Amino acid sequence: MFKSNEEEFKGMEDTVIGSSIKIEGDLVSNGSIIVEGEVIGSVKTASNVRIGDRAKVIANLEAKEALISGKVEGNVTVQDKIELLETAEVSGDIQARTVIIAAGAIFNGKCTMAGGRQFSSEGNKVESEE
Amino acid sequence: MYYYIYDTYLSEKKYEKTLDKIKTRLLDLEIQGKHERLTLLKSIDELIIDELKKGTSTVIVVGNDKTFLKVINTAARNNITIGIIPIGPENDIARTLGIPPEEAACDILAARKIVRFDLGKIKDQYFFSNLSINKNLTRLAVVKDTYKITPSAECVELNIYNFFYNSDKSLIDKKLEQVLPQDGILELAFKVKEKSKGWFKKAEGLLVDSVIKGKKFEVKSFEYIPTLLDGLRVIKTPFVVEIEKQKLAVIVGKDRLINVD
Repeated sequence: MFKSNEEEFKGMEDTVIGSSIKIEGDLVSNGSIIVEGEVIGSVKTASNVRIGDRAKVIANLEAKEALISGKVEGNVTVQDKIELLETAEVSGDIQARTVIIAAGAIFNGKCTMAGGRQFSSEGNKVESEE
Repeated sequence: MYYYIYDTYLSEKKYEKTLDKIKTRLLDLEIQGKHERLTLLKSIDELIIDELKKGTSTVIVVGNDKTFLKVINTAARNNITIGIIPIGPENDIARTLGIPPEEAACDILAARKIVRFDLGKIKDQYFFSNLSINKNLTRLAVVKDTYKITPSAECVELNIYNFFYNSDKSLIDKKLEQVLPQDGILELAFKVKEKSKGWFKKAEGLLVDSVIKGKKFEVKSFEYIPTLLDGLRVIKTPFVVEIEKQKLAVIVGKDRLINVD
């Protein structure tokens, strides 16, 4: 089952975007990505992505799983699980199978989960595919 | 035929006995060849090319990391197998490759276990370990595939690694453990200054802040920025750096610290 902390991301990162660099463009990778710096454009990986609390991402994200504790402006699409930690700020739509939002996290957007249930950030059910 | 090149520092009297023992051991193992000392007047590249014409296909450097790195370019261009007999300090490459110091290295040479390593390439220049830039980093950008990377003022060093050879594993930054010399991948690393942890402790060392893997990076700049290849040769930006797979044949020992075949 899912691990609910950062442990599963440690030691397996292929790309580490630290706080000393800025990336502009389309970042595509097969391995996991850790962002602690600034990314403008898009981020796509077949593996996991972690957005650190100092990170600023103005990009659409696509990944297998996402762990977010920084700022994201863009849509986030993950195959499995997305977890927003208490310092996360996400402005954009989320699509995932499992969503975990910690108390204190800021999420402004629409959330669609596998199975077709869709919720707005206020918690109102807005759509169903059934 | 083997061609043995001795570094200039081995002319010191303290190495005389060691060199005699090595020559005797080579004789015992029947891996003799031509022996030559480097001097300030002779370029190592010219020496090797002259011997190539006479049929040499294996060059053994007798010296340290720097001696080994000096022959990389010529060896890669001419498909020569290289080996090392490490003598004295600064022999991390030999330790990493499992080659014991002094005459014990002769047995490794005789066993002749050859492994092919990737090399980094910039135009016609090859590098074995890494390239580094530590000046004017904010005036350059690195392009990889579909994106551009720009370092901030916080960044103090840029490296592109093919092979990380510090033999003391405790000194290897965790983020650089992924640097493998046979994976066909280069690692672009940005480093920042390590922050001091206490009031009286001075800041020391560099920390790896970012690592990006790739087969090709384009380093762009509006001005020439000096870049050091393997800590020996200087080139200038802009340039494209690529990986060349299995370009260099090296004789290695059984007790090597890296997993290569």
